[in-house]
Amino acid sequence: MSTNEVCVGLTEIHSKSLLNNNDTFLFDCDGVLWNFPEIFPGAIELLNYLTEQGKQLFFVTNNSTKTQDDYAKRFSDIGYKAKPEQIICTAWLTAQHLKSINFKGQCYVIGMQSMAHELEKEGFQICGGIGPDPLASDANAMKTDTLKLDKNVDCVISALDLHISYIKILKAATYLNRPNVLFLATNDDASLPQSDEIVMPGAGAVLASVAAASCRAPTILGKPHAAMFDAIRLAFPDVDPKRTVMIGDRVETDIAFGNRQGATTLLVFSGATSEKNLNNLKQNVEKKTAEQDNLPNFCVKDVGQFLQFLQSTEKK
Amino acid sequence: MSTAVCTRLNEIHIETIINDHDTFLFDCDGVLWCSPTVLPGAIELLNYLTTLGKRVLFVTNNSLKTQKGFAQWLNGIGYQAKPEQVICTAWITAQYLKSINFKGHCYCIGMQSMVEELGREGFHISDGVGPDPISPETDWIETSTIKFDDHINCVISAFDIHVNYLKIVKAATYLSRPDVLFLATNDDVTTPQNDIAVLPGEGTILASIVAASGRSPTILGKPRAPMFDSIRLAFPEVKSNRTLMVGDRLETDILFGNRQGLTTLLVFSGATSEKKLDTVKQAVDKNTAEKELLPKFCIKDVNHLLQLLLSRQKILSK
Repeated sequence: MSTNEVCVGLTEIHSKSLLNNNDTFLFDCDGVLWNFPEIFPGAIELLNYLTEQGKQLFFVTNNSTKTQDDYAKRFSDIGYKAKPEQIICTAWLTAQHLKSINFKGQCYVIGMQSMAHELEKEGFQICGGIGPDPLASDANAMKTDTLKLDKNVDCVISALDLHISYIKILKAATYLNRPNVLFLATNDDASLPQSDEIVMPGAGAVLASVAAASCRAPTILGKPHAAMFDAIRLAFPDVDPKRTVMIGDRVETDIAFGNRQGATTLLVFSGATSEKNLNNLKQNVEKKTAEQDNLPNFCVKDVGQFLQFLQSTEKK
Repeated sequence: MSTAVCTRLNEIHIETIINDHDTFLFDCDGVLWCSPTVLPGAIELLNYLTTLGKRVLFVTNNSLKTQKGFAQWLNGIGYQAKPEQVICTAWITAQYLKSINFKGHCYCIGMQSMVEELGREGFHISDGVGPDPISPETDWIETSTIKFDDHINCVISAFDIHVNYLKIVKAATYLSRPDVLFLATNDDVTTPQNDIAVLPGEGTILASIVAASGRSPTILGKPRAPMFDSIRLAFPEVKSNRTLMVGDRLETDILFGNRQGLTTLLVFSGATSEKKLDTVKQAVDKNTAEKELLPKFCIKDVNHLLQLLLSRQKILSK
């Protein structure tokens, strides 16, 4: 059930309502369940609690550096038995998207090993882009005559890549300059969640350079775009957005995603968005300088608090 | 003065070109050469204008060039250039820092040219130039192992073939600190093309730093004003209304020239074809593109300009 109210501070009564009126709970991970390796208090207990209540849980993450199996193992290690199909991560999603458009051909993928794993699992061929592709350390110019370019590239995919380099951007842009080459991006988050002051560029920073060099705009698959929810409903047709809760920490991805799908949205303040950020956003929406879609129905300190509200309603 | 645009330059305009302009600014790639070939008539034109007593300056966004290196190269191909005639973005970055009385250290994602030009004015680049390798097996960056310099209060984005994830981490992190200046040499997304590959320019590196940091830089190169500010600081006699800008790109050279009140001459030997100019002209008519993108004059190439000047010379000497 999605309400027209926004930024309501979650209480016990709301929590009971959320439990009764919804069958499916979607969780973002970073900043909601953990700041790995620190698992947030109450996170695993909440997941188990909701599962015991008969709820269907999915984990929707823009993180392209892990596979479904990686995440399933991580959950298992920390006390929640997640099945791989509950993990809606962008590496897997990219493979599903290519499958859904009947894609044939080779992909140049700027991304990590997880992308190779998920794409190859569905039988897609990767012709380069994964892992280091550096220039000699004493190079002071780009010599194109020694460049190895593949003649048959039909798709360029941009994801988070710790090994991003000038040559990779050059290759991606060159391939994208050819006719009929698809351009996909896992997501465009500008930076990664960090607990210290260091700024870690996200897939969006990599994408910005590929988009600039190629002068092309990609189809972006991750939140807030719909592809993630489409993939859930393809595999689980009973999922009803009106009986779904999306829990996240980023307004422009998680909350916008949930709202656009017609789900109820719950923002936690344990990650990217503070109460102050939300207040500023609310004012900007009132001044019409920011999108209404980014405002959550409810907000709460963290998942631990949500669990406490649920458990205290039970005691009564 | 006429507000006509895209006029094909011919004999009737050449008197005005010569008599009404003391300073001639030339973009280089696509105007004087298409690397590696120097275009016919280019050197002769530069020499001719110089013998007429005109001031000739080279205005290039290419951040790999230094005043000294570029002048030497021009000397090698037949034009006796002095370093101060080279208005390149590495040099104007140093001039800009000088003009704001900058004190501190810089993190510069760029190459040796930036070190050289900033060093000439006593500015110190602590880090960012050259490779900053990540281990090939890495699948995560341990942020506690990254070394940051607490004295850095300026981040500069330029062309860098050694750009990588770690450098963007550093740039974006420095930029998240208070009072850290953010400069970019220019934002051209591609460098002049070859047939083999699309060559990403300074703008692509800048795009990733902007995305990661959420900050907007002060951009120094064409079409922005700092380039002309540096020229006027170095050559106070230069007057906008007596300066001609010759270039091949509308969104850098021509826009730069028009915004500064210069006379603009587009050559079709580089990035812009006649067809492309026509497309932009139509967009301007429909109000979907800026009028200042359109040059006052256009001509096939610098050789044609030279021929017009030499014909005029012949007529005058009769």
